[in-house]
Amino acid sequence: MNSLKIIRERKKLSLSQLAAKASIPIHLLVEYDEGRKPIPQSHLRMLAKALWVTAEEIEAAPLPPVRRPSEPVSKPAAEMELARGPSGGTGVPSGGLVTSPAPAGGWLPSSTEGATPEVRERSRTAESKAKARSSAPPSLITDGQVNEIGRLGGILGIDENAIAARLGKPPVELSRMEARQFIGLLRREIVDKGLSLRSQKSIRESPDFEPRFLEEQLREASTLAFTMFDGQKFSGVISGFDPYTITIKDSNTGEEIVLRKLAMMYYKKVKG
Amino acid sequence: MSLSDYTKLLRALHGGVTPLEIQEATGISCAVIGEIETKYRRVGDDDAMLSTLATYFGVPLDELQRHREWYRKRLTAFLAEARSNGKPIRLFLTNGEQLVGVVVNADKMVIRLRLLSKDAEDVELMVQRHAVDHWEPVSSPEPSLEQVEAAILHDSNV
Repeated sequence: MNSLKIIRERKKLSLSQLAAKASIPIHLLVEYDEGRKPIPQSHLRMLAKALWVTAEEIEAAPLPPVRRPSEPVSKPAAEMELARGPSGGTGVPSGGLVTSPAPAGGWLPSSTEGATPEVRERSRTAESKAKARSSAPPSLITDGQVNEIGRLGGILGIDENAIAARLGKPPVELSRMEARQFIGLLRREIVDKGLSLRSQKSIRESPDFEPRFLEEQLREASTLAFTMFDGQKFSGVISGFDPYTITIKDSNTGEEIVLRKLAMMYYKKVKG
Repeated sequence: MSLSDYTKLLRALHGGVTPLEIQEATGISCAVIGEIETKYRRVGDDDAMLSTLATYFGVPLDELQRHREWYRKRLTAFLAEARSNGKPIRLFLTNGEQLVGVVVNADKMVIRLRLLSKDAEDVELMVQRHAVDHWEPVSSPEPSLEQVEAAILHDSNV
């Protein structure tokens, strides 16, 4: 088992991209990536160079995924807990999975025994971040969440007072997590009632009618009068158009003039 | 005019400077400029960023903030409502001109406006969307020139 796949994905490189960068045949890289074949030293050096990491980092066993305390324990993880070692701690089995919820320090491995110095360093950093997270006060509700609660309440026909009554406090006093849960609850209620989660019908811009209008004017050989951004005025019989320009035969000079729509304020059909 | 159109106009007025050049000069990423220029919804919430952009283009910050409020989706919604209820609207164009009329149709590029005034009976204008600075509903049609003259005469007599 190596960390090649994790490092490659972290660097957002596809197998083919890495194969090209490291000048290694892709079929070999697939085998290294999936841990089916040990990476020879020569290829390890090439991969380390291509990925801007040390060869040791690639060879190191992958770190377990860091989970947040709020995440539920998935069934396989719970099952793994039964197979935990005799230490009883939140250890990392050889498979690299987190085996049980860490009570205070988050979902982090407590043991990095046998890991490389880089791995231990990364682990320490992750642990300190998790500690900071757990000791920090809960984040307050965001403006977006306040707006969303108001919007969803509007769809359900619940005013601010009713929302506060349901919550037992005004929405602004909720924590970010509480707000998230409450928003989820309101959304489920809306769906259960068969209402739309969108507060208003989305307005789409109408399909282009201008080309049809111009085609009609072209057929009728209409005279159009234009007012441009710089105050210039033009008028003449339309002789062509495309999405960005309208061509006219100038009424005064008989010259063909191409007028850019971007430079126009407005135009109209001249009657008579 | 939306902040999107206004930013494009400012770029054009500054010799067609590219978003990349703006990024190099100000530190505002191309992606942010791209978002401002392409999104139809209200964008540009970050006043510090707008301030940097205003300094770069040599325009007042409140000018950018003003354009931020007249975003494209807002105009689309306004036109759709005006078209459905048939009520007259007033368009304030970027050249200072004001047009009062009823929306006949509106698409991505133009607004077909039937003008409301005695002189301009049955006149329909194809107004380019980018020429519209801002807009408002009109409670009653604009008084005709005769009505305005009569009112002035009445006032002077009083």
